[in-house]
Amino acid sequence: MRKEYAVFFLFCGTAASTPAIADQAAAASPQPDSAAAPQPAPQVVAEAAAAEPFAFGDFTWLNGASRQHKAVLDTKYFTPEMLIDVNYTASTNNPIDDTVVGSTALSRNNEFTLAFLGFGGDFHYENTRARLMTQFGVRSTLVPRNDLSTERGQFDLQTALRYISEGYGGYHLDVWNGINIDAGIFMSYVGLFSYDNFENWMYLPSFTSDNTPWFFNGIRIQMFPTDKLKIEPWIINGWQTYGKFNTMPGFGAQTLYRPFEWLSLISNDYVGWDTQDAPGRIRFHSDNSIEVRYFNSPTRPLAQWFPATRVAFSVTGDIGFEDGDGVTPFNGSGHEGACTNATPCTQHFLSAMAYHRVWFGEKFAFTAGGGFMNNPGRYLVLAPTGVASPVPQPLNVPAATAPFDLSAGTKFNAWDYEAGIQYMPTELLTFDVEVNHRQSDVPYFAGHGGVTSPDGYITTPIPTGWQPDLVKTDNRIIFAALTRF
Amino acid sequence: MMRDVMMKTLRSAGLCAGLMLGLGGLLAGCNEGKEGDRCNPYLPPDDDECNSGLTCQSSPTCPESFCCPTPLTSSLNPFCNGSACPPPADGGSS
Repeated sequence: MRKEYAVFFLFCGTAASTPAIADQAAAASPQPDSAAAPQPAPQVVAEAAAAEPFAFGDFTWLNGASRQHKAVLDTKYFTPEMLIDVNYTASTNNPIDDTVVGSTALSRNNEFTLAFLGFGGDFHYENTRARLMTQFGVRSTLVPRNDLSTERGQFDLQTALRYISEGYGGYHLDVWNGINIDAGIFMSYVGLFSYDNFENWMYLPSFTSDNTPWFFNGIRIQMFPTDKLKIEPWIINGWQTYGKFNTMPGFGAQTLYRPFEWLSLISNDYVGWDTQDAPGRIRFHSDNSIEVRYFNSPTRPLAQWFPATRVAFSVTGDIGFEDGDGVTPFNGSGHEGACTNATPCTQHFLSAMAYHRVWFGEKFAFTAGGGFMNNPGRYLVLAPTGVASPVPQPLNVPAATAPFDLSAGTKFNAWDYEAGIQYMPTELLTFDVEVNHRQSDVPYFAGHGGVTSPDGYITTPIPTGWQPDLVKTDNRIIFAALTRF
Repeated sequence: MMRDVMMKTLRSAGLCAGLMLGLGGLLAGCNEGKEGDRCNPYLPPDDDECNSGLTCQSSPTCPESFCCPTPLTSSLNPFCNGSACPPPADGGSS
């Protein structure tokens, strides 16, 4: 194997957040009868289908992409897939209600948690394609609860759709290096990290990924002008929404460029109208990532004393804002409770995250990283739950008596750092252990008193005036076991 | 050769594991039980979460429970002596 050193360089652009990149490439397969599976072995593909998008290299090193080289259960018409994601996490705050606040990956402290159980796969016959991935486990409630578009109208969209993480059908055109047209619920790929945690360098991502969409509901067109470039426009209901807030749909696009095996550039850009009763408030978001593998030598480690066989990093930056109906992107003159068109309040999202990963052979990897977010107006802050919830409560959960304020005119700054090890005994199994520190400039994370009731149970009466225990820091350790076929 | 690589890999993994455990150790101490910390008032006295000399109780002015000394008036902590209660779950505005 050759030793490879890549050149560092800067990448400037807009940013947005996203999951599974390999999945995108797989979903874009221009040969419908071939396995719409994770990244195939590059040597095999080079002989069989040289023009297949992104098949010229082995991209299994990427953060947010599959590290599997083949789909073990593949058949001619259907490529089954199954993911089991179990975690155990503990916070030094040790909330008495075992509840995690402020994450879409973690939900319960001090308990073994089946975060995600999904089964499904890719259907492919001639030029017709479809994908189904179910979603059982806590994520089926943890993620949809952030979608307030479902409060509009009837038929309980959250109940109807929460158990589907991906569900779309479409058609493949043999144009350029392939064009796919799909309709349904698909992964957003905003924020670099994959919604499928098996594909990530770390289990709990930084805010740039955690607070941006995991899925979209609508239509996407994946266009591959070359085998190194994907341009994917979307027409969708909204920003990680099952339904639509106003009249207009959301529009966006992903541009993915991988000129070399060691380099991946991705940009996700979005425009929509995602605020209840504010049809004049437009949301813009841009998310840009670069991933560079700057050392790769499976047989000759980096140094005698440091036997790294592969080293890579990722950098992601996001810029977003809302404008209109009482808010403005920057330098607003208004304040909470008095955000008007004459005196609008500042409402934007600025964030970044960076990760560095070192592989020791194929079975061990160490990753460290961190990031920050600045979100005045809090329109992308994940709503706390329980008594502090500003969003409607599930059935049988008492109404929130002290909701966290998500109004225009508020402020929110947060940052985090983390480090973790992954042990990957096979391509189908990952064990993950990591430590994470999160901090905010306002009380936000669950403190020891929790957010549920004096003893942490929803059945215990809540005294009048009882406040949830929100604190500014959260230190935790995370264990996870992820299996994917 | 392969054996050397394996050994080095295992050594590196061990180093990383040690680092992780060290970091985990730093995080190990829980933020609870000190004077003025929130606590569960429904636990039996023998299972009280509070540190020695403190018990889980509420001041007359706050509905929440805190680890406090007895009598409450002997405490300088505002949540124990009743001079303050936790602020509403807002987080503050600009």
